Parts: sequence; structure tokens; C-alpha cells
Amino acid sequence: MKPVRLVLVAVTALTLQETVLDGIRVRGAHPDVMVLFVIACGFVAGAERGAVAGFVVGLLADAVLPTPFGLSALVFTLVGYGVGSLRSSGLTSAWWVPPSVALVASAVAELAFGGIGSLLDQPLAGHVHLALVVVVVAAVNGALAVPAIRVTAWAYGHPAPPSPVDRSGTPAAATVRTKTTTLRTRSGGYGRHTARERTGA
Amino acid sequence: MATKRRSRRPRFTLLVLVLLSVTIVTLDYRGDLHGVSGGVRSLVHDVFSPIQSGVDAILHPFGNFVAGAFHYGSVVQENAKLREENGALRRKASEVAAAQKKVQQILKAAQLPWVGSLPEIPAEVIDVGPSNFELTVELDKGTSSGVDVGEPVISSAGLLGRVIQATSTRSTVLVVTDPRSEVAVDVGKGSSGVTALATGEGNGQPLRLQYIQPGTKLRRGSPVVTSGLQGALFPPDLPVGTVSSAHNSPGSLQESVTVRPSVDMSQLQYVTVLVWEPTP
Repeated sequence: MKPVRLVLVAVTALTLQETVLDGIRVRGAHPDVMVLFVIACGFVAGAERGAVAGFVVGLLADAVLPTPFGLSALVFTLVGYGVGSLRSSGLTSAWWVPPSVALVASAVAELAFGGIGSLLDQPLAGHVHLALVVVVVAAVNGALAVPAIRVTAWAYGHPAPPSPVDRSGTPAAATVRTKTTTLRTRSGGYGRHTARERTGA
Repeated sequence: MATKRRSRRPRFTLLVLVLLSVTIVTLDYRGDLHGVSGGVRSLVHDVFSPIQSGVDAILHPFGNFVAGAFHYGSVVQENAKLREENGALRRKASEVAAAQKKVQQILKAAQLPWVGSLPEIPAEVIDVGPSNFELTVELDKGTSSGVDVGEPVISSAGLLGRVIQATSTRSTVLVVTDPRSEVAVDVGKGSSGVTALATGEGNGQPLRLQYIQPGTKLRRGSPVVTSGLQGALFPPDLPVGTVSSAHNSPGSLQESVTVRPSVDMSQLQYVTVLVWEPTP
């Protein structure tokens, strides 16, 4: 983990969000890359670190949003954890996995945001509006998923965009690598990336 | 054993973080945390606003240039039209200025509060709607310029909303079209005028008027202005919009009236904050 790089990426994401992306509007709804960054963290670093990243990035987002304080932290924590555990529960490494995960997770995040928000006296601007927000955010994040995961992998100091850990039915080419890394992982640490780093790859 | 412990740890972390967030949300909702969350917001805003302004300054001209190049023809045409309008308005302004002087003297004699005499703080809109879930705009002025929570904000067209958050250099305005916004208004003029409450219905939607007796005759296009009743959130006579539809559904306890807001969200750039406190 490289804390300086992570902070840099988080601040860049926030700057992008506040300056460029808030101005891009589809009938009032704008993209949200803060949640994409959390999704990427979960995807790259797993459930636990995904949850921590979600909480921290959520608090950062809460500081600039007029919505109730802590709402983004709550939603992002769940999203980071969810994506992280999804990744370690046997996803294939096909090319379409990262965009689909980002798309679905973003949609779920915005729905949760709207849902929990409405519990807190935060009337939504109509259901059509929420649907629109979900569509816009999910579409943009799905499209940006691959570069976002690359940048986040760099920020965590992971060698390459990771292919998901697969416990059963791994493709033949990946099996050998997974085996060696799993062996090494047993000596300590909680991810195969940490193990790969240690081997000096 | 070791693997088991490892798989439990993320869940424990999740539990702790979720409980922490729920606690923060609850405390903030109850208002116990407003001092702290306000402080954090101010801090982040103060650290972040120079970066935001810098990047904005770089990207804005570029965006304007691209937009200008695409719409060159219409921009030239619009410019000519605006020049003409400007001339007409100048003439009108000089006429109004004379009338205004008279009115002010009369009002002064009658000791009535009047919008024209309120101190004004000009501000620029730097972000329209930082959140997808609230209709708010961000202004480039904050408490250091005299902007405070609760103050009404107007654009050249009419009432925009009121300040709901203010840090030292930034403030957030809740727009009249937000579903949480409620404005006490007068509809129509003179003896036929009625008082109502205009509530927002969301972005791009007309406002809805509450508490109008069924059978009240309202014409389309009638002006809707703030009423400025005792304890109202806004000073009197700020234009809010015009009546766009009015009908009476059978059995309803009130007339169904919608109002087209006079402020155009897509054209916002410069606005004015009125230094005004509600009369208790």
C-alpha cells in the first residue's frame, strides 16, 4: 500500500468530480467518480481494505456534499466491502468483469444513497430523477472502470490490474500462478498481490 | 485456524465502520454533530477551494471556447438581440429609477421594510448541484463576505433560494425547486390576491401551490411573489414565477395550481445574496 499515492488519487478524483464532472449533466444528473474509486479499491485490494477505503473516501465526499454527513461514508463502506468480497468469491478474469462490476455496484450505491437518504427526510427529486441518476452514474462508471482500476492498482502498489482470485475452475494458464502465490501467501499477509510483490515480480 | 481468523477480520472491520457511519449519520441528523461536521466541511472547503478555482480557471475558458465555436452563428444573433434589449432596458431603468426614488421616500415615511434597501452581496455560481440528490448551487462567497445561513438569494430573473450552508469562502443555496423548499407567496394582485405556500417538485418541474381554496379564480400568467408575512423566510415582493396551470379537481380540498419558476437554472452565473433576517 502506498499512502501518498492513494491520497493523491483520492484528491484528484475529488477535484475531477467537483470541477469537470459536476458540470456534465444529463437532464440534471451528473456522473459520480468517488463511488467508482471506492469500487476500484474493493476490486484491487479486497473486502477489508475496500471497506476502509469506502469509509475514508465517503467522509471526504460528505465534506463537500450538502447531503447528511456520514451518508456517503455508510454507503461507500458497504460498496467497498461488497465489491471486495465479490472479487474474492470466484469471479472469472474475463474482460467484461470490471466494467460490469462497476456498473452494477454504482447502480446499487446510488439506489442505496437515495433509499437511506429518503429515510433521513431527504426527499428525492422524484423517482424519475433517481432512475436517471442510477443510469447516468452506472453507465459512466462502467465505461471508466478499466482505467480507474489501473490507477487504483498503481496507487496500492500492485504490479498490474489484478485478475480476480479464483478458488475453483481457474483457467489453465492462471492455475500455475495461483498455486505458487497461494503457497507463498500462507507464510503471511492476506492477498496474493502482497505475496507476488514479495517474490519481487 | 489461521484462514478462519483471516476471513473473520474483514467482517469485523465492516461492522465497526458501518456502526461508525451510522453513528455519524444519526448524530448529524439529530443536530448533535453540526458543530463538528460544519467544521470539517469548512476545513475541506478552505483547503480545496483554491484547487477547485485553479482547475476551473484552466478548464472554463476551454469549455467556453468549444461551446462558442459550435454555436458561433447563434451567439452572434443572440448578441445583437441582447444589445437591442439592453438599450430598451437602459431606457426603462432610468424611468424606473425616478419612480423608485419616489416610492422609497413614501415607504420611508411609512416605515416599511423594502427589498431595494437591503444590503446586497454579489456572488458567482461556481457549481450547480454538487450532489445528485439535492437541488443546490454553490456560490463563491461565504461568511467572510457576510453571507450567512438563511439569507435569500436572487438572480436577475427572481428568487433563486436561500443559503443553507456557509463556510468562510463558500456557501450552498437550496433552490426553490428542491422538494424541501417552501416559500410563502402572494398570487395575483390587489384585492383578488391570495396567500399560498409554493413547494418545489424537483429539477425542471414547476412549483406547486398549497392551501389555495377550491374555486379561487387564478389566471395563467399571474405573477407569484414572496409574501413576506410575519416570520416568513423571505422578504416581501421578490418575484418567484408565474402561474402556469390552475384547475380544480372534484372533491379536492384545495385548488391544484402550478407555478413556472422565473429563475432559469441552466443560465445561472451571477446572483445576489440579500442580507436579510426573518422577522420573528
